Amino acid sequence: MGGRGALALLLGLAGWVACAARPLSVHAAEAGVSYSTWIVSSDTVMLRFVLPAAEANRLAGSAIPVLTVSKLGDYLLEHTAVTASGRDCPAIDQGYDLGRVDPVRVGAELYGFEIVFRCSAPIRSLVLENRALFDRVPGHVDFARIEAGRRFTDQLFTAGRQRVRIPNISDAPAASLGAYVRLGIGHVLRDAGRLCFLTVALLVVMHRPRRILLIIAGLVGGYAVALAADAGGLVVSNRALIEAFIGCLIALYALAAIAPQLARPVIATRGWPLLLLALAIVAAGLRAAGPALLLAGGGLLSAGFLAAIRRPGARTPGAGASAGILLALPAVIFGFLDGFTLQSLLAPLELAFSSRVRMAIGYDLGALLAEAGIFAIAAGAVALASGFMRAGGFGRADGVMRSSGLMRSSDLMRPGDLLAGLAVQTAATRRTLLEVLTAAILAGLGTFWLVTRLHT
Amino acid sequence: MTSATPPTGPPQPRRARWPWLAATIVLLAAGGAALAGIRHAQRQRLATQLLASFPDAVLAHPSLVRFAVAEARPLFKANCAVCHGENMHGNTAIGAPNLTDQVWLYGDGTVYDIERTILYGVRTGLSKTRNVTDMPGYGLRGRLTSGQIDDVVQYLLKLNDRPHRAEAAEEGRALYYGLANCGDCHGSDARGDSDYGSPDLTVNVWNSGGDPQSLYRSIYFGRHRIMPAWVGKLTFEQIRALAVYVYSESHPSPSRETNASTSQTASPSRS
Amino acid sequence: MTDATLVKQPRAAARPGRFARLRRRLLDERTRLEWMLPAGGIIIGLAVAGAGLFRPAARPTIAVPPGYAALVNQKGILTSDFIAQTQAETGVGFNQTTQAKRRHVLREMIDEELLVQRALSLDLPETTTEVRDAMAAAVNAQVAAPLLEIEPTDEELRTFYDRHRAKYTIGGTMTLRDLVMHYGTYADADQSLPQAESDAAEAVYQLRSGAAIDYVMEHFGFVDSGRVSDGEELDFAAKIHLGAKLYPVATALNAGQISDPVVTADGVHVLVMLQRQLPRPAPFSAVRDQVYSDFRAEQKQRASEENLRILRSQAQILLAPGQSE
Repeated sequence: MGGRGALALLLGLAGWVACAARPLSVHAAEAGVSYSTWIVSSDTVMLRFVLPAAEANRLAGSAIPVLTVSKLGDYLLEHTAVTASGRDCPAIDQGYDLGRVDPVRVGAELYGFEIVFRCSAPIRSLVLENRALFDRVPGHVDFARIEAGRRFTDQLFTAGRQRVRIPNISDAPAASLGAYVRLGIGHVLRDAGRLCFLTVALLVVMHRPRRILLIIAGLVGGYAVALAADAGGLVVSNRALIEAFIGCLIALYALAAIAPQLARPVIATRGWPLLLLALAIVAAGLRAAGPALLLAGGGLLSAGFLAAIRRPGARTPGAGASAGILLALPAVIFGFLDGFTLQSLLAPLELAFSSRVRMAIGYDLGALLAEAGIFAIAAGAVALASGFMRAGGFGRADGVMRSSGLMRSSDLMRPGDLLAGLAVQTAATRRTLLEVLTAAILAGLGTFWLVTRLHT
Repeated sequence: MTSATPPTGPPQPRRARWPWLAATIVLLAAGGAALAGIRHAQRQRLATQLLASFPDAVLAHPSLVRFAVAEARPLFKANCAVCHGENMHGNTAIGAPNLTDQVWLYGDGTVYDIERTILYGVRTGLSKTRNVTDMPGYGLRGRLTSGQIDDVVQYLLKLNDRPHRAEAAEEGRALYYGLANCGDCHGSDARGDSDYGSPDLTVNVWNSGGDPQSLYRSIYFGRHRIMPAWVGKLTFEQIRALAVYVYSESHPSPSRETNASTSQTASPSRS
Repeated sequence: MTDATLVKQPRAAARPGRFARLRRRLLDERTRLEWMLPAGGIIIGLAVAGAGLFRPAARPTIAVPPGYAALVNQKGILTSDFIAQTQAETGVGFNQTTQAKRRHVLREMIDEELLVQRALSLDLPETTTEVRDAMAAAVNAQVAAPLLEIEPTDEELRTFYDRHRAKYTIGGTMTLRDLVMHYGTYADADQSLPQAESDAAEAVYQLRSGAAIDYVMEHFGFVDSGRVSDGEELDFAAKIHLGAKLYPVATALNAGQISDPVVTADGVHVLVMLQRQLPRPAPFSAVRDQVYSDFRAEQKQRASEENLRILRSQAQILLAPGQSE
């Protein structure tokens, strides 16, 4: 069992993980988000609550056994409240058989409700309470807009912040930058796709620690360009396709790590782009223009990228400063795409330009901090582990991948040799078996996400 | 002494002509594109001005009128001539009016009125359509006998100074103001009401034919002509252009500026 | 003797500068293949993928397009409509209206547009009966409009009249007495329905045998129901007074005939037809107006049905189990 066997096993592992990874297919696009607009006039507060259908469906079950518009409205009525100057402001019957909760038509795949709270006196200070969905979805975020007079301010309701106090209605405070930074951090830490990308990026550069800085610089550049594009308001992103393309980037990075390990690297460096192009043709035949363009672009990008980092004559793939810079390209793209996450989330809420920019800066900063932190922790852990293994005498073993397959069963049984097998490095590329397996798994995951998210 | 021989050497290559040809083609193409671009921009400017002005204010700008007429001619031929005729003289068989006679069923014949009729049509079912009254079928409904209808016809002929039977015309006059109550729509002076769309019966202009037999049929069967609404089928610019075109064809007088200043408040032109 | 060191040595070829080296490298075909093809692939790939991932942001219109007097949430109010509304409200030509009046009219039109948009947002066509009725009526009116242009001929009207001849009648009067025997009420607690029916049958027999009405009334306990007057009644009036159960019985009687007992909620009735003038078919000339109106109504009805047939053929209509239409 030589390199071919290793390849077969790797592919099998990747495929198995891909099939098993379905429950992990949670990404930012499915995170809990709702939108509330609180319009304050003399003694009333009108709440317009917009809830994506996907979010509403999460309530079906213990909270609302059979989800209907009226039950959803009743749920919102129970979980929102307004207090002015210490006194409760009850929701009023809006008359004309509308009831206290009025469903409104706000768009496809969106539920909209209007509730009017009437206070007993002209409003000077307010406490807005929104407890909807946090018990079911702890990561749920409600983006709020508060309109008082002609002033608009943005706010956030989260599981840890279900009440917003406004001491002076004529000067309603906006959510702090820190709130959005925390949101950005949570966005990265809670999203499997982002974590997988960071893992595979680390894999690619872990043997050259300085390149981690290159990756981080690429991320910063990507987020900066996205912020500029969003601020300019020139383009609107397609969230589902962005998530699919992130899967493609994960697979691309993983292949960049795996390819040198294969007996015939061309299978990966050319096979993957050809696979994407073939899928693009299928998508075009199905008249899915967006996915077809995405797949075709991904195929061309992958072909160019994988060819560039494996220039003939290089001592090792990825060697050289230019190749190092090139390795940061997927990170730049990732940063650019992830930078549009907030834009797509905020689309139903019409906010002022300054608010949107401030929110995006905080959000992207939080994401960057989380990513840098993960890199730092992971790099430190790898350095520690490498030092430990070197100290334990697990040295090189040439051609282990080729001569013995992965490992003999007898080797697996001896306790010390398992770790030895995992820590074995090949001569040519200095990658451990653990790294190769991880990259293979992530390649499978990335491919899986790419295909499934295109389908949605 | 030997004659001088020309120096020999490698032959000089001919200078290629194709770069000049390519450059010429490119220049011509660029010039054509530039010209097309300029004309397009000019057209867009005129189209914007045409629509931005109040309907009758367009008449004060001869360039806009010329532009509108040029735009509207093919439109009229494609969409309106089938009923109103290519010469705009109408079609009595289907009740399509003559658009050049300055006699208007609805409104005062201003660009605004014409535009409104083109926009929402006549009796189309739209809420803004011209549809206040119909001409009832007196004979169909049994309100007048055939003889009575004939008397009314004679009265109409008399109103228009046409040959008629005097005695029948007197009977018809009595019916006009009595049993038939025609004045309710056509007015006590029989000059119609453009707010209702009831025609002037004294100008000898008849959309469905002015011969006695046609007049008889109009009274006997009534008239419920329909003009389609063009809103949504033609652009607003096209409708405005058509309105200006129809106005200009119905007002061949050269002094358009004078007409523009008075057309908003002009009373219907009577021949 | 020469000093070799004094002989001027030719200058050594200068080493190419960095730019020249880079240029040479780029122009080297091998380098081009190594770098430019992958670079081209990356750039084109990014552009193609970007085209799939992003689309140009919609720019809200910030200027009112020509031909419109105002935009309300990107929905336009036509200048022509504004002029028409102004003239309709003021009763004078547009040029004669004041700026204040025009502003007032435009404000009203903007308010109306806001309310219409709000109605759509509240989904009033779904929830409010009046709105639904008005919308359905508007669609029917629009569908029927072209049919009004078609003038019916005499023959068509006559055919319609012949088909519905029974509907067009003149006259029809009746003079009758409606005798009722109550049962089961407080005053007639001892009178049961079977008994009342039996008594009524006996009374009918006696009336048909020539007994006087007053005698039968007194002997059997009948009273006048009060539904019909003593005098002659037109058929349509009698229909209203007698009701759905008794009227058909009455119309079947000729003058001098007695009906069988008829049981209703208030008692057992016996109708005595005193005089009967049967309805006559009205001549076409007399009911021409009505025939014309009915003809037009039927045209509109057929147009509406045809429209619904087309709408249904294009619609997906699913019925819940147990439901039918």
